[in-house]
Amino acid sequence: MELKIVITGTAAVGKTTAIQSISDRPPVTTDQAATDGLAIVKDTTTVAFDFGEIVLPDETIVRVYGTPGQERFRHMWEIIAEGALGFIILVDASRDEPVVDLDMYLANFQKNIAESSAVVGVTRSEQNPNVMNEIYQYLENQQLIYPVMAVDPREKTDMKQLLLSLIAMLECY
Amino acid sequence: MNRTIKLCGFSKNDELVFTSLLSLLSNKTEDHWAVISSGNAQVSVVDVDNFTDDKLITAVEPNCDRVIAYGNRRLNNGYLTLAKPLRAASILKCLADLEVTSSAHEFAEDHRAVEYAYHLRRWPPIDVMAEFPGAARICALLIKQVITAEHLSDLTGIELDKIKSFIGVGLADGFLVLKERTQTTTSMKRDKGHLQPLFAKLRLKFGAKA
Repeated sequence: MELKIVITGTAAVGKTTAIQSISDRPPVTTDQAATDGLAIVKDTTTVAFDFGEIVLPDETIVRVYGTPGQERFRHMWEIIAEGALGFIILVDASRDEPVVDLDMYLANFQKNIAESSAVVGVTRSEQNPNVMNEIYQYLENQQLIYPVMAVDPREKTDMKQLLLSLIAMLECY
Repeated sequence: MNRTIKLCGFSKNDELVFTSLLSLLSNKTEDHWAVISSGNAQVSVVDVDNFTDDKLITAVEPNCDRVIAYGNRRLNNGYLTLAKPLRAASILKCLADLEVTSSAHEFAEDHRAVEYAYHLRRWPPIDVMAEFPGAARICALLIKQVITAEHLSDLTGIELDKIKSFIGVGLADGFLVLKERTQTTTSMKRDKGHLQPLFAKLRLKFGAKA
């Protein structure tokens, strides 16, 4: 059985960067030049998936997959999510409606998350001081319990803490 | 117990509303609260929205035991907060939190075993998580259940002193709350039992020794 953790979230939220931060081997990316509106914020975008590998001391490998962010590559999401140990949902606080983005990803991966668990990493939170309150309020309204942390995907420490939180959620009722 | 409270920087209207509500709530609070207008009170409530800096709150602080920041301006100094507009429920909650955080202060000074149970309101920030190895497991249990420090120690294998230290920080920072002790059914996940060795290895890999 393949052991895998999935990182998902909107385009340019930092999924590829997050994988680079935690992967023990150079990550595989399927970036192509962005040709749509996204080209304004980044030069390339993931069109299939990214993946990196966490190698444990006994050589066990846990793969970390990043989904393509753009919804037009949605057909890939289900394939990537199948059998995942858990999910890291990255939310870009600088976007217009980060809570709507979160809602969309939670709804999309609902079945898979119900069988595993999820954590929410909020990027660029400094650009939206109310975002954490809004996300917690949303989760409370939905009666959902997930860890939410402000993170910088470039920081290995931040990504480690997200992963540790996910593992802890998986371990506990 | 009789306790005193002083309103600082309040508009006349808010002062009237606060005093009236507190009076109406007198049978619902653990202590009897009296609003005083002069001298030092045990608790000062400072309207932080009427000032562009924190001069008033820092001036008031040395003259009372606790300060409550009243308003919607965000402060990062760990003050208890009371949001506008004034509501009876929010005053009651604030006074209850006052009791809880007072307990937390006492808790830091007195490490005797206390039969309190706790619940996680929000996941702690990264720096707190990084400071306490094992924090993620403590939080995962606390976010779903109300649970005692002793039970947390049993379930996680983390030393009780470390659990109590984490709880002290959580109460002071407001991401943890004190709750009435309840029966808990929390346990490690049995249906993923075959993955426990993997989770343990991942924890070690990422530096959480506990």
